[in-house]
Amino acid sequence: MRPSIISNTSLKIINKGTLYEFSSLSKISVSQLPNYNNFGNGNYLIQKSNFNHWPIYKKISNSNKVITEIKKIRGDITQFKNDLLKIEPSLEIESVNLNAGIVNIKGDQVTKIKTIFSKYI
Amino acid sequence: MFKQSIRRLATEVKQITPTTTSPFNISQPSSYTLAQLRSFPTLEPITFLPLPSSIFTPAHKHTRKDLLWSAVIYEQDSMRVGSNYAVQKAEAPYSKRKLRPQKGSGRARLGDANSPHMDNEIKAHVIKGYHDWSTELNQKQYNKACNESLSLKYKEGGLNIIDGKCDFEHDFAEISQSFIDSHKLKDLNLLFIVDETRSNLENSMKSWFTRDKNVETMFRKDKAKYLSKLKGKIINKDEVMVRDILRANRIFIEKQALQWMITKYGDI
Repeated sequence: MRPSIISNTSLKIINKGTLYEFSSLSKISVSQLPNYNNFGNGNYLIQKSNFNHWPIYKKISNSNKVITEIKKIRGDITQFKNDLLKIEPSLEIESVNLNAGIVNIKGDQVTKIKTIFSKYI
Repeated sequence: MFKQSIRRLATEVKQITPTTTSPFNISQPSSYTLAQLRSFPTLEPITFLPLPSSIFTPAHKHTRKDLLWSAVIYEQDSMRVGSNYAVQKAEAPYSKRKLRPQKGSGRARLGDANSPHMDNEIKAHVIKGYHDWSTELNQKQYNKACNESLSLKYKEGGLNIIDGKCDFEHDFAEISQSFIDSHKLKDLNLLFIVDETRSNLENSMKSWFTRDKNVETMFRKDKAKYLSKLKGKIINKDEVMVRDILRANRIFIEKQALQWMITKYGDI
């Protein structure tokens, strides 16, 4: 980005050292390419964070509304929502953000969902 | 060679049978996606280039328009100079004479002409220059927006990765005309992202796109505005903004410049 005229201190330039190297075609296999396992159609991936925690958080808005937020869902988010409801039908879905990969559930369900994730994923 | 490079991958495909018993349909996303590496200025495909899927996301993934919006607002705010001049009441540009008598006119009480409520240029509360309008955005959000914008152009088919230098042999305007006509790029916004300064490309494009106007005789302010709105832009890799990428219909990026951008903005 072009530096700001007034202040360019807000963007820190990180020197990562060596440049990214493209892999050669001979080193990659077909399983690493798109459409191999049809990812995104009926399947998804939820990864743990860098500190080895499930991306499930309790969110309190307006000081009284409690929501459990499941983040970092890649792939078919609607399918994930349906699978989760099959395992635990008592959960009430608040909203689903398809763009950011977030599912919001009513109430504090963090412990319950973390247990389910640890058991099945 | 072009066909042979991809032939091996086609014969490796096997039927996948799901073996997991988990109620969750967990699957691994792809690590790479393929793009064509092209020569310049013929744009002839040479070979395939595996791009990281973490940046060049597959077609089914939704574009994070919210991040693109935030990044563009952030860039526009940082571009603002904030040097506007406004007259305030304390400067008192008019006389301090009372405009009409205090009583007897049948109208409201009125003081001098230096009042901001009257029809003049005086402002009661105004932000004056020198003011910093720049806003803040998290580094991770900006990096993600850069990746999203490149990914969006890749999905639209407007991203051309050039092997070697993206430069012409000469700096005549006719070379740019020939390039634009032969690849049917007329009336499209073109963006060339280069690793280093390419003088022939810059001079040729500039002379072709400014052929109708005499730029040298224009005022400095008009000239900057006119040049910033040209359809052919050549920008160095470290000066590329999200807004430039989104505005372009076709992007021609050098392989080295793309490597630099993946290193800087990618989470690899």
